[in-house]
Amino acid sequence: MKQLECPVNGLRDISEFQYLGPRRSTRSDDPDTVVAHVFFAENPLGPMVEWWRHRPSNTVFLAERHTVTDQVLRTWLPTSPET
Amino acid sequence: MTAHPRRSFPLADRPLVPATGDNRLIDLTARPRLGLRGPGTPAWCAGHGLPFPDRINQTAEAGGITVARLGTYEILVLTDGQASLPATPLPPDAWDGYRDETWFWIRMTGPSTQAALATLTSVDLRPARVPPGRVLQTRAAGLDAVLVLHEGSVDIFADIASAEYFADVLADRCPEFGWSE
Amino acid sequence: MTARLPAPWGTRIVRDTALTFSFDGTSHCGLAGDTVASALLAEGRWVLSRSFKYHRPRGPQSMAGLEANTLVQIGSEPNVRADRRPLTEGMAVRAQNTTHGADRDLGSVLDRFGRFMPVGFYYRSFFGPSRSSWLKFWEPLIRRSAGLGVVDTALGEGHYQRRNLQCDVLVVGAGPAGLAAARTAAAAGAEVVIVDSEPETGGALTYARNGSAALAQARSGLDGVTILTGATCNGWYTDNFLPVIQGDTLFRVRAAQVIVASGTQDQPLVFRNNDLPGIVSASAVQRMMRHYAIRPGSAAVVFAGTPHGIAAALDLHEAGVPVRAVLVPPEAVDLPTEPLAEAGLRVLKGARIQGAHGKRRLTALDVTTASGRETIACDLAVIDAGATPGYQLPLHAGAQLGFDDASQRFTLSNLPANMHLAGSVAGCFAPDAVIASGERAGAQAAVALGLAASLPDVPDDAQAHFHRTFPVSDPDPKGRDFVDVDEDLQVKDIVNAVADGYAELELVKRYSTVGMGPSQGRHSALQTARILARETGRTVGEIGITTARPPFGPEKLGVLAGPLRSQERRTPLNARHRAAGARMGPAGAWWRPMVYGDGPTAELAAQEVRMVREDVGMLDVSTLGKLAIRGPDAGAFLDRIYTMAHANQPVGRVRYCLMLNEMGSVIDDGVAWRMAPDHFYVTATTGAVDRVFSDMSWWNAQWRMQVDIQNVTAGFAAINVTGPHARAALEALAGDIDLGREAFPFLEGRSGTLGGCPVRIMRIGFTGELSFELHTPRSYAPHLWDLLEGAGVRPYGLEASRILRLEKGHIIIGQDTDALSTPDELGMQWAISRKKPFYLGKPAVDKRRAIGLARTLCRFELPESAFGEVGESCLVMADGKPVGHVTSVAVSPTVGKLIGLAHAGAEPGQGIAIRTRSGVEVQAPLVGHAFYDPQNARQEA
Repeated sequence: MKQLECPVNGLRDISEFQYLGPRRSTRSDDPDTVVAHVFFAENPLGPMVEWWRHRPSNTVFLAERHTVTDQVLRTWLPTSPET
Repeated sequence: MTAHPRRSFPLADRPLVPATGDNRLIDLTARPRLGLRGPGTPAWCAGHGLPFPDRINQTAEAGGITVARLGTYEILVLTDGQASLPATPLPPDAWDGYRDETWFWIRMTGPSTQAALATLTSVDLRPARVPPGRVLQTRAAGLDAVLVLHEGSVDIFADIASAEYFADVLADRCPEFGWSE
Repeated sequence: MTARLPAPWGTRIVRDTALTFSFDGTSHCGLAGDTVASALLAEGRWVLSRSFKYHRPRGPQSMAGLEANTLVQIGSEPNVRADRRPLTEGMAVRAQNTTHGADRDLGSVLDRFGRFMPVGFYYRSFFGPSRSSWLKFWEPLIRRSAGLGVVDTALGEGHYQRRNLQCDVLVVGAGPAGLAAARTAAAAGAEVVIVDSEPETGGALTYARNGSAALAQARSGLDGVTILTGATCNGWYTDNFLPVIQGDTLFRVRAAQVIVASGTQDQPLVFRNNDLPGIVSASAVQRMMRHYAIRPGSAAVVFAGTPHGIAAALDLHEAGVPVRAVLVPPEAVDLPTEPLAEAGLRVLKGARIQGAHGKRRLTALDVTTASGRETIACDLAVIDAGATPGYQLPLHAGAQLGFDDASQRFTLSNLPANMHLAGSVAGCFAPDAVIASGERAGAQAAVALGLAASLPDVPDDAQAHFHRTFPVSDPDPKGRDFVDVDEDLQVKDIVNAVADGYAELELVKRYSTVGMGPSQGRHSALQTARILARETGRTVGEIGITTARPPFGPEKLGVLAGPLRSQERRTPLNARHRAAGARMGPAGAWWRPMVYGDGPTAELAAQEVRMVREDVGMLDVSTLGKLAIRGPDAGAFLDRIYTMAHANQPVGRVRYCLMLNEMGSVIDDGVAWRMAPDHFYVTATTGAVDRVFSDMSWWNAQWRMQVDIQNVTAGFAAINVTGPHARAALEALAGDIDLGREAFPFLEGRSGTLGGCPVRIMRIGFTGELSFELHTPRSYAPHLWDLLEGAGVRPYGLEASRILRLEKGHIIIGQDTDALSTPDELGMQWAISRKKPFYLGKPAVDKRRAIGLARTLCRFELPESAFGEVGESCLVMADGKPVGHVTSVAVSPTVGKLIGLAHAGAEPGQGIAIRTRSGVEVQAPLVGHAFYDPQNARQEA
């Protein structure tokens, strides 16, 4: 079973985590932009940044994962506001 | 410890039987504890003469009180049963996490502790990887759990609504602890 | 009973013991240390089962549980591998897939009708003679005869365990290579676990000729290494996660480095009647003799394709079993056969086996050599036709299996990082090469862990080129030349699959089922590839094999399930409900009281509804989601999350809150009570609170507002005291909160104490009666409940609660809403703030308004008699087409009608047409307001 490195708690089984979705900016007042972000988001073959949550500690963090090899390249805590 | 007569706790009706040997399971759910969260937490600790651990998932001790740091500004304050918890009220920027009500508290002690934990959680508990005094926020028996490790014992905190389920799990998986009904 | 070979043959048996057991009802005797199969062989019984399709008699072939031949039923346990299961006193063993036991199977008539069962025949058969023939005749017939073994449905629960196990190095296979790898890695400082499915370490050394001399050395130096025997590593999963099954215990192993020393599997030869009992592999006959001291036959022929066959022949000779001939195939050039001649054995070079004779046991072999044909009488044929590596785990991990034409062997490549091979699986055969490859793998693993270790060289393997595999002949015109004994597939079946148009291996597998039996291709994959290569003009390397996936071997569902039990969450009042005779029902992991008492649910619920409407009742709503939202930005945060205005919500006010997703669909609802400027107590539905909490956490990780969000659901109990006498009942309890109508209006919250319990009380209106929702810290709840009962308040359950809220037309999230429900559809435009610049889903709300309403949720009513005909999910029709469905419906004891909510078209008018369960359409008038007390006078009292 896959393991994921929580920036606060270290390497853990994937069953401790919840996938929250790709990082994308959805703060927009324009409904067409929101539609584009929700329904036509980029789905790259390659590294993608995603949100994950370590459930026991409620640590919300970012991970960069290669969508073809499923390898997680790095994980980190968000440090600045993401709009 | 004496529970307030108006208060009751989920595992109180299940007799705890010490096993043969040195392994024990103890229900400490009724023991007072304090969960504190918010940016005012470090200052509150300083104000009450308590240490604030340098890192998340670390514990610090002071005179019978253990402070376990669970997050940037979140702590769990435990007593050894003799020492008293510091008095409230709390500052405006630190809040009660209601940890005396949201979690059960079970202590496992004895030489089989690590073996018993291995039936409950898949986190790496090998001593070289987890020195004593460490906090592990992980999953145990399908519950989000906080484990506070000491020499030869572990304190398990998890969803109080699942306390009886967890006790059943212990009876299933590590009966050598002598947990019986 | 045949006499056993004398010591030192028989390393696993304990002579002078006696275990009685039965096979097909006949009593037998075995020794301690025997397996079921070895005890039967020692008693002269070779036929253990009947084959899958043709019901041919079958017996041990590998003596290692690698084929279905040895599957037997022991007591209530089906599909036990007789050649792996230790014999115990009193076992009742039965043959499987037979009508009257292993020796008399009426199903064997199918063997004569083989020509009516070509490959894939079942895709084209059983359709006639009439339309009902399948269901009435064929299916019951096939159902009775299909399957192996009998499941005892009355069996009690088994006891299964699971253990998580972390280590630095996991070594799979404790033969000489695996032991050397474990020793080397441990010496370098690694924490090593080594597993082997045999009951002892040593692997092939325990049965090979001259193996025992090396055993002690192989097993040395393992202090500190965890050794698990009788333990099968059943698969490889991501990040070196491997299940190891030992009896009824599942070890979930996480290893930083994995060393696969899984050895090889002896390959069979394909010739007519190659499935007869008495035809065995070279390893099998060595196991029989060395482990169990079995005298395997009275006259043997050995097919020696590699040095292994030569060793087996010499073993037989040494044990006093007459060897009539040793056959050396033409491809085995330079095979050193001198020891055979020195032993006085007859060697036939350039030999091929054409076929075998016998009914339930081998009686003779037809052999061709350069000098002609001969038939050799024998009851034991030992086949050494080379071996294939134990490739399964590496393939699970993404390695590739290739075929080297020069050496005529499979090779493994493209291993993932953190996995290493050692021993014969890596193509090493000479003893010094095997050990060196093990040491090298152990050292590589240690170095990968950051430990210091030197990498030894692996010497050139002087024997490697002898260890090849052999071609498959053309189909025998009389057939019964089996490629896959588990599935009863012959050479011509593979050939015909190609002729039927299935020329790709993946199609051949699925069309013919080759390799899909318990052996999972262990003895058929190479042969199938060879046949396919020949039929389609390609090389074996180009054909390859179908990939291997976990599980490696059979695993009981009980072992996978383990001691797991479903999570149960209980409110602190659970014991009170049970004592009061509540019928409990699940809500997710929670258990909630549905109704109290014995008797028909509908009647009891109606009584509870009346009690609430006329007097007072209490409902345990402790499962309700509760969130503590605290901090300077608490109000501003809630303003963004929910649709109503919370930032300017006055302290003490309780306000409905509605949450949308980015598409503008309703996610959840609840109430938010501003307890202090920086402190909101927010409720959510039982089923959605976890999602709401994780969404809030995620949003604030992005917005980084100064707010603390905590899910305190389990920490507070909640009791909804509701009914016209609710205030009076609460005032009877000692408390410090003024509950009067002016002091404590509707949609406000107060904190204080009640009956000595700290309480937070909210006045909200779910039931439509005067309601006080009491929240108290969980540990106080039973005491508070007892006080309320003392004040004359009786409990009611969820069934009544649903009716009460329906009478007010309130929605339940997830019942009356779905992924597309908008507030507009639900008639909740009032909940959408027009002034807020932003809340979750706002852009979508505007956009979907521009698109227009697709449907609306309406309230309808029908006479009580419609109950049963109109129920949840009944369709709402318009112009003969469905435009919606009924979401909630119940008989209302208060208004005496059947009332409900339904999705209907955008403008349904005065009534909707509902299609009943009988398919009839009824007209249901719509009600524009709550069914009960539309002025809300009672709840705002």
